[in-house]
Amino acid sequence: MRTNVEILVFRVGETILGVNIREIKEVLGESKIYPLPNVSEIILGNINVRGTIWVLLDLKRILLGENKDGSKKKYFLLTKDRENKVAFLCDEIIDILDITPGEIQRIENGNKKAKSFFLGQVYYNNRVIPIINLKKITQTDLDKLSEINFEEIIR
Amino acid sequence: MKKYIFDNFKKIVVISAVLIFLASFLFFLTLSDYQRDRLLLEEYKLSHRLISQIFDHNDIEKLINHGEGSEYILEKLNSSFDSIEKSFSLGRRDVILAEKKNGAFFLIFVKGMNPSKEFKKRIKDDFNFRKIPFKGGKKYFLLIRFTKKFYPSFPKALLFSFVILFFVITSFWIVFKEREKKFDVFENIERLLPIKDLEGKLKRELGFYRAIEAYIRKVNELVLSISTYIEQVNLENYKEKMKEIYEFSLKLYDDGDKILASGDEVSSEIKSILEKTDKNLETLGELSKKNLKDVLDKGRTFLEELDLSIQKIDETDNELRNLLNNSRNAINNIVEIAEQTHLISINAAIEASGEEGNKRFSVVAGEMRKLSVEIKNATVVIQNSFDIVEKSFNKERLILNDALKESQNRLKELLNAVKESSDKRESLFRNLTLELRETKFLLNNLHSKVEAKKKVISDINFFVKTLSEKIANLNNSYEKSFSLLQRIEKKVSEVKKNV
Repeated sequence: MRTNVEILVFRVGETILGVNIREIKEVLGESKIYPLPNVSEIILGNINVRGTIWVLLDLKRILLGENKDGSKKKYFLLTKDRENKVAFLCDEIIDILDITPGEIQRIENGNKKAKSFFLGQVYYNNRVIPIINLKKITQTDLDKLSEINFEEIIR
Repeated sequence: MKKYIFDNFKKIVVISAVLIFLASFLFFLTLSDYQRDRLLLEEYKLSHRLISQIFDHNDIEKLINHGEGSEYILEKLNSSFDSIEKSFSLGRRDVILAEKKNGAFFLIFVKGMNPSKEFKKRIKDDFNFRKIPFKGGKKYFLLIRFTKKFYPSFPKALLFSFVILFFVITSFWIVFKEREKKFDVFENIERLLPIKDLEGKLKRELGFYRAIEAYIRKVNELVLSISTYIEQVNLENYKEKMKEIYEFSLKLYDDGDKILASGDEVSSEIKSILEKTDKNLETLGELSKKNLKDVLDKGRTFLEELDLSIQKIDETDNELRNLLNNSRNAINNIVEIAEQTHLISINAAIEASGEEGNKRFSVVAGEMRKLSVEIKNATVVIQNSFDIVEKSFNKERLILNDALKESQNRLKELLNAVKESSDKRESLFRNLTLELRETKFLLNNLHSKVEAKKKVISDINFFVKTLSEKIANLNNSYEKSFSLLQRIEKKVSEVKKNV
């Protein structure tokens, strides 16, 4: 059995986040976004990945409550949730970290609700990176998501 | 009509006089009528007022006593007055109002009448009051006569007087006019004087002699007038003057010839000057054009060459730029490829991390990832160096461009300066030519004027010539006429003697 944990390090806006690589099915470089009418601002639209439709969520809006298009290049993180087929938008894929589970630390700042969406935090290039739980985000209602304040953890 | 009036002048005068008389008569008649009417009316009113006063007054009771003599007085009154209008018996006294035909009224108090002062005063205010003793009876009574003052009717009187005036004035005006006519116009002379008879008599007795007399008179007058005319004209003086004029005219003719000759000379001189100016103009134009053309052409060719060289430099610069851009695009492509390989490596890592994943594959993926990152870093370095090269190149290019442009501008300025100077020269030449042209125009004008004057002078000369001829003719004819006049005078004197 494998003991090491691989963390995909990516950037959303100016914040660098990590995610367990097992939650990700694929990373897409380019795809056309088809916007949907009468939906929450978190849902950016649909993307077509080789014939299957994925719902695209705006991670920047979920975490920071805003969406400023800084970089032109966008990456799509496709999750492994087969029922919902949810994808997240990020600005840059930086690296893959190969760490032991002991290296994952607890998050001390922030409220409980916000903390529940993170698995912990990891050191990367002398920086503390929170590891996000994308599966939980896909399972919670969008209205409740918009109410949660992630700022203390991220900044 | 006028004739009629004139004939019957006396009748008209008589009629107008009658009319005046009638008018005046009417005027007075109406005036008197009016007066009578007025008096009647007024005195009626006044008497009634008086009676009412009497009835009211206390004095009346005291004055009037009914007694003897009243009947007697009444009888007397009846005999003397035309009508007794009213008689009142108040106690023992009678009040009688009597009227005469002329319109006068009388109020009579019978018996012992002694009216109070106040009563008398009151009556006096309105009427003429008179106390008349009655002869017939012993007892006296008061007789009051009412006679109003004379008030003539002015408007009516004025109207009538104006009518009379009108008639009088018109009649006299007509008369005056006709009298004037009588003195001015001889229209009525035939009627006033029997000329036809007179004429007949004259024809028979005096007509012939008178005709002769008139004829002689006329002849005399003619002779007198001719003699005076001859005296007025001094023939010899006239002759001398004529001669002078003739000589003067001849001189004039000579002078005119001289003037014509001088005019010819002047016109020929002007013509020669005109030709010279034309030549000068042509030479000036050629000179100015040649000098300028050479300088300007050289300058232009030099500028064109400069432009060409600048264009060449620009072309090479553009080529360089294109090269740089191409290399930049290549680097960008490399960057993209590196990113794609990075993505592929990540996806490979994801694939390898699965439960069914291959660990060897994951190692390859990791190596690939590292490689892609390295490539990315290398491209970044290359890009930076490229940037530095481009910046330095741009700087050099800018400096070169500035230098070239400066040199171009300076050359252009130089050329412009040359051009300006040449322009000035040209303008100078132009002004010169313009002035020359103006002088030419003036000379032309002068020439034409001289020609015109020449013509006028020749015309005058011709006129003078004809005049002198005519003067000579006149002299001859005058001598003849003078001799004829002398003969006529002699004959006239002879006729006079005969007459």
